[in-house]
Amino acid sequence: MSFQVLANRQFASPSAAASATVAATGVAWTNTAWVQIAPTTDVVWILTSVIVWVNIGVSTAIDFEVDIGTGGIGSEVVLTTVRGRHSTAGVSMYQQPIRLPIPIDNLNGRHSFRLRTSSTRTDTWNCAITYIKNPVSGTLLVTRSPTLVAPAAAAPVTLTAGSTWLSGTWVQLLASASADLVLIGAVLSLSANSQAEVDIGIGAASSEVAITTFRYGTQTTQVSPSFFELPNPLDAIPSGSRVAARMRCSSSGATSTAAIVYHAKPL
Amino acid sequence: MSVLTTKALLTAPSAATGLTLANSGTNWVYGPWTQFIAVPSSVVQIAGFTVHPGSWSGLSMDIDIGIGLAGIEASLGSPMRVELSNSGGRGMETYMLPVPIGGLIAAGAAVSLRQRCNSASATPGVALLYYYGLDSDHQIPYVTGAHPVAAAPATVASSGVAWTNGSWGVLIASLTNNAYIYGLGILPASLTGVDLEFDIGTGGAGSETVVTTLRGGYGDSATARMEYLHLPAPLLVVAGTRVSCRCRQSSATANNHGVALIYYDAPAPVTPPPPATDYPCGLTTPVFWGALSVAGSVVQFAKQPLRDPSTYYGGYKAPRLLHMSRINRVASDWLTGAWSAQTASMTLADSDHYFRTFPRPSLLNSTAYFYLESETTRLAQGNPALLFHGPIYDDPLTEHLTYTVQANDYVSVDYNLFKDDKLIPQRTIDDDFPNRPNASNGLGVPIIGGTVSETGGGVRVIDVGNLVIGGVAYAIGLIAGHACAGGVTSLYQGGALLTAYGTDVWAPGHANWTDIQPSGALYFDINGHRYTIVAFKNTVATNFQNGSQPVYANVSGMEPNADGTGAVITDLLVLYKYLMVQWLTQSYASGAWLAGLTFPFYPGTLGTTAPIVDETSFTTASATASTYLGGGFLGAFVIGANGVRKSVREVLRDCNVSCNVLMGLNAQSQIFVKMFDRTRATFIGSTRTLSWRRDILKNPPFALSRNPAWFANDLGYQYAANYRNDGTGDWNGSNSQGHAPSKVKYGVVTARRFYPLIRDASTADAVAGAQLNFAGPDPLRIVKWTMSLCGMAFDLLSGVPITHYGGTGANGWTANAVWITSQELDPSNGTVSLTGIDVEALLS
Repeated sequence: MSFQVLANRQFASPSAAASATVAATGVAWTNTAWVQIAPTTDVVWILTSVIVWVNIGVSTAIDFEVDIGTGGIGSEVVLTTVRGRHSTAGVSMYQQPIRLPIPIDNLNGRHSFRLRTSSTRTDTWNCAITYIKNPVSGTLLVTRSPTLVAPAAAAPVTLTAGSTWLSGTWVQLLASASADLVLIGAVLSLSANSQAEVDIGIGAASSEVAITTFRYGTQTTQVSPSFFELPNPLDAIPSGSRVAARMRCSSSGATSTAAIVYHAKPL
Repeated sequence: MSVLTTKALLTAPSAATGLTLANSGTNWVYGPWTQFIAVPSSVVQIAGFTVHPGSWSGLSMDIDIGIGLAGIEASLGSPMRVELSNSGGRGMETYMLPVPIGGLIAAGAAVSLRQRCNSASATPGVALLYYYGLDSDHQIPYVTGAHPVAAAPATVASSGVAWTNGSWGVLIASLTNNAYIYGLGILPASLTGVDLEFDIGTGGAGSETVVTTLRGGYGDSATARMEYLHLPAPLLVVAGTRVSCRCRQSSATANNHGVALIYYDAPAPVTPPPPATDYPCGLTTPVFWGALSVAGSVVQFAKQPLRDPSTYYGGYKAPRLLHMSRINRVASDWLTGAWSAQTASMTLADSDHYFRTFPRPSLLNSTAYFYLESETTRLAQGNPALLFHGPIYDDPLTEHLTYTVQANDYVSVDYNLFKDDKLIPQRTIDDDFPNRPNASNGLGVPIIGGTVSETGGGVRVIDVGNLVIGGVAYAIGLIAGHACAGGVTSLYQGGALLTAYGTDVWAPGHANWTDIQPSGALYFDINGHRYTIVAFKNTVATNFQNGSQPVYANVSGMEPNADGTGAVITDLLVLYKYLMVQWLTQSYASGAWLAGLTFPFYPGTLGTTAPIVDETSFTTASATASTYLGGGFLGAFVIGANGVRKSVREVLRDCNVSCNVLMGLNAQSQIFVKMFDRTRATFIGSTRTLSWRRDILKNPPFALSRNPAWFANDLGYQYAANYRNDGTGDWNGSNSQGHAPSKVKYGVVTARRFYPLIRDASTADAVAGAQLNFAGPDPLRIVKWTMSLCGMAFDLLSGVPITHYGGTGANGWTANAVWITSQELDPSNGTVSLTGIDVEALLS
């Protein structure tokens, strides 16, 4: 048995400076321009987490996606994509980074981010990253396969629970996996002050089989980024699989939004 | 395996409201246990928990894990620390450990939780997150911890100047054990719209060094439920280190943040306590007792009720022990190197159907412990001697309402005449290489020791199909399942040296390797598995993959750093140690070499553990080897060449014969090796002479016999195995030696030996010479004798002088040297039977 260990120091970018900021476009799911986080890297970096926050209260939840890219101005290449949800009560908490259980290699030179949200608001959003420097000193698995999200650049699916602690119906997240997929987490947001479980399943409609379960809850309001990371990424979605989700809850008929974050193999 | 899993994350309770963890009514005192998993269907690994609901403000809470049956839970001592700002606030209620806790919860162990916190009334509702049979290497065999311990988090203050470091706040003045730090628990100050960075530092006051940095940000208030920052992977900080934390933030305000260090606690193996001084020769009232570690609980027995205090080895031992079997330690066979299974058993009274109604239908793979001490020692609460321990291999419900448990040693537990043995290499070619050809599917991933080099290449490279790396498809050749010293020395195809590095060929240690491995690392990690691979394109690739022109490599294998940067290990005994620790008792995957497995001296909470493999014995044997050959024995081999796997016992046999050692279990139940040391002073040391008057029992009688099977005075031997699979024979080296005086005395008696771990003639000649001079001059005499319990003082494979009238010569033996090769304790009558080889004539 050999768990992952890492001797490398983790750093932040920007370092000892305010996050990079960008105003949302005001058009749902439309990318902002790329905004530089830092102009250079000393060596090739490995992205370990993305910290996204906005200092507003809203009446309608905002789903967001952030691309992290590398490259010169006008030639940025997307390295990876993360996703979160900003609750209706506003961002009222200390922000948990969106941690990547399989960090992304090849953050090389100028790096930037861009944002798209489900909202038509034009608030200013903040973004920073954490990273380690190549080479890895330890056993950390890294990849150049970006994280992907589903639904992509679109509203999350809405799951509805059955009666108390009875599962609702399955709702499709992906019609057909383009490759073998490795699930790293899910973005889940519950409508009620409740406890809930969300099954992720694969299989054709009406014959889905649960492959893992997320459990979460909301006391008053669950807030950004609402990202639930698996400690061990799940390698159980074969290419071509239909991926779906369902929920059950301590509150009968409660709803939850759901999106998933994953890698396509090979890693 | 790797960080990935195919197993589902599970919750308990499932599809039900979380269970309330009661409060003790006193701050930072654990409340009672609440059971979450009563009858697990597989081995449990702890992944985290959810907290909902509850009422609190600024709550710091430890959730502890207990295992065992309800009412007799044993704490893992694993407080999982969470900081919960405000129960009325917003935020995450799910806390996921970055590495699941695995390997600490026995199969079938029930799991409970309890909590302590800085409130005398908080009662959180909790659901446990866990895996069953997690098929991933990414699980940790250590408990969690937090500093400060059972106290509110430490204060870390910002400076009041934007992005200027505050002063260091001490989290722990000196770590008791090695710690794998995985992050910080944080109770933040109430801030809005602020970026924040925390440095973790090590070192003395005023000379702290930053070892890592974490970053987060604030929204419009800090009223969250669960606050933490996790690192990408645990960071090892060694015992004795002072750990502190400082912060800087975007706002020019002076704030106090509550910070706790969260980590996995990795205590160093502790040498088991030595037995009391009256063991074994002063034992006049022997007390045998046994313990079973079952589902995290300990149940223990003796022949009569032992009403020990609860602080003394688990307290009461029930009177169920009807019979403890003979406890037998036998060395590997000198001729073949084969090592038989070491076993022991206990028969327990079950007239009250205690085991027949036990919550577990079988105790298979639980662990059994066999102890011996004197009544005097027990009453004085001294330390018993651990006679044997091991996994339970069989546990029949035996006749007359009895129940029997049989334990095997750690190698033998996987061995059964009627099923597959563990095969080495354990790792096979599978999904790490998704485009592997059918012919390579399931082949073993080779393990290389020493330098394997032949004209035209000594190791045949295995075709594992194409991989797309950096957007380019390469034909990949597999050389080893670990990093190799310096990468790959050279490659040949069709007898020609390949030189077109960067166009046709890529190999670690050669030009343009960074096309394949941008970091320049000499290895390639795939799904958490480390490999030495080479890559081909163009005609080289075509001919390699169609089999028309195989590729052969010269390569140096394992080195101490596990990343290819160290010097190749050539010492044969050191290589055997690596095989034993990394590949036979465990299965190395990637990263640093594995620490050796350990076992607890007692299955309770005494915390004393010992390595399963006595690594020092290999060092000693290496030193002895230098008395046979200047510079010692050199090793070089490929295990799993061409993908061929062998049973673990075959590999042990090959190692023992090639290394000229015997192996066994020592008095501490550790696997060890011993090479015959021809210097009398070293061989005997200070061991006192056994005499027929004082030590050796009349019955069973002292007996001498010969072992003709070991005798040979004309020894042919082969070495330097051919790993090319080219039809030119299995061996590249051979020689023979004879013992002339013996041939005159007994005629020519021929035997043949094989040394799969040796490639050089000098070592092969030295090993063969050692074996010829051991059993070649005369047929060896085997001596058997019996002693009282005092015989336990003479360990397996130790040397002992014996004086006995029944020995050879006109007056019998006087301090005649004997090498002990088996030791058998019979608890029914308190005798110890010993077997040894008469080596007097071989010493100088």
